[in-house]
Amino acid sequence: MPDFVTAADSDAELARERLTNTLVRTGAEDRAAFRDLYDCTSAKLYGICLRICEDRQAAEDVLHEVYLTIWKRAGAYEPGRASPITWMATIARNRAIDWRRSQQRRPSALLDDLPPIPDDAPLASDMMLAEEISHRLHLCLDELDRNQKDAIRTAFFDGVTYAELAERRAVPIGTMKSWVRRGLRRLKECLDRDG
Amino acid sequence: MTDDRTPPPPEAEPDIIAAELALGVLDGDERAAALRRVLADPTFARAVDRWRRYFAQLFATWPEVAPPERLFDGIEASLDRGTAQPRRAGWWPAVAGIATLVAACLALVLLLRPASPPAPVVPTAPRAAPVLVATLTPADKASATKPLAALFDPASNTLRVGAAPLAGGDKAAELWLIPADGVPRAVGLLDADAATPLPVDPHNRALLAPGVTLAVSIEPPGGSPTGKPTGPVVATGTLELV
Repeated sequence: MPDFVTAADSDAELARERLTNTLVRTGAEDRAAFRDLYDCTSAKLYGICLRICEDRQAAEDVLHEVYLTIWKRAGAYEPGRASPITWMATIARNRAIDWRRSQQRRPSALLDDLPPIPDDAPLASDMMLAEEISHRLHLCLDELDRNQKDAIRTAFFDGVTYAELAERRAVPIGTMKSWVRRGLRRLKECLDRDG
Repeated sequence: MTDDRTPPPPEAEPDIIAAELALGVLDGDERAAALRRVLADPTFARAVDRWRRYFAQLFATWPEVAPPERLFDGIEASLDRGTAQPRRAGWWPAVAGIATLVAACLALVLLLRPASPPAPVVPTAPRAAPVLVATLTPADKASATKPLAALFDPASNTLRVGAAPLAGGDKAAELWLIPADGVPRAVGLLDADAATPLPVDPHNRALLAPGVTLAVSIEPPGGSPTGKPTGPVVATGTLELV
């Protein structure tokens, strides 16, 4: 078992290093590297855009914007600050949220065939995500009350504010803030406790 | 359950506000106040960064969905055209709405109004890189200081900011840009009496985009000694497309 874990860890390290190199080469305006980067990461980033935008055409447009942004900003990527996939996923989530909040009306054509978000910690076999294999946040989220945990997960994965969280659950905004803040306090205690 | 109680005011719990900002649940004034705090308070900025890293662990469970195959062709076509616009005009015009036009007009009015000698006419930028504008509003609403206009001109690679009588005596007003990662980058010192044209270095240029925050802090003469804001933040605004 220890051998397996070590092998998986070092594979994950290698995968992350390869992806970092690809992103750095993209920063030097290497089109072939950009294509590799797209092939490795577009399904992850499209999953993010689609879930937050809740509209296929908008998700495609946002993904297009996201990769142009990655192309332009890759030269400013600092490998020490975040893993490459975290850096790109953050751009995708922020852009998708910008689009969502620029809409006057909420998307009406809800997508009903989106894959559900697994409730469990990620598998160590998800090679690209070496940094995120840490399970601490997942373990700490599991200690929260159901309402607290659901609200925090929905805020992250659906990119919604207090106002929309409250509307979706049909509770007063004060109640929603109370759930989330208590959840965040308990998360902090748990994360601090575990180091 | 006691969940229906009014939540306690979170001012005394900076770490919870930091978590709310990192999670993205804040909007309006609460979000603006938290962003200002990122600039003014390095401990708070570190807390936001730490929470972002925690929440980033959730990216690993986000299910993948393959995008349509033709999509990469469109991205390459945009690169070949040397333009940052998506293939369809789509949603950007909706984002760059009336508010942006108002900001743009205000920016031009303030920039073109001569302080002493007439300011040079702001050149029209090539289509390749967008002109960006921001209106920097004083943090203290009671202050007599007028909003400052800022305009990024890609043709001259210059960020031009109106006269900034913000720092008294022997202090300096320093401009920062804060992209999505929440980390302030120094841009330069502002002149109190005349518009300041600040050249933008390549690192900062790569970060300039709609939605990026600009902020002014009060620093010792010569600017922040640490590379991060050390004094109070006196004005903030958001870059928008013209």
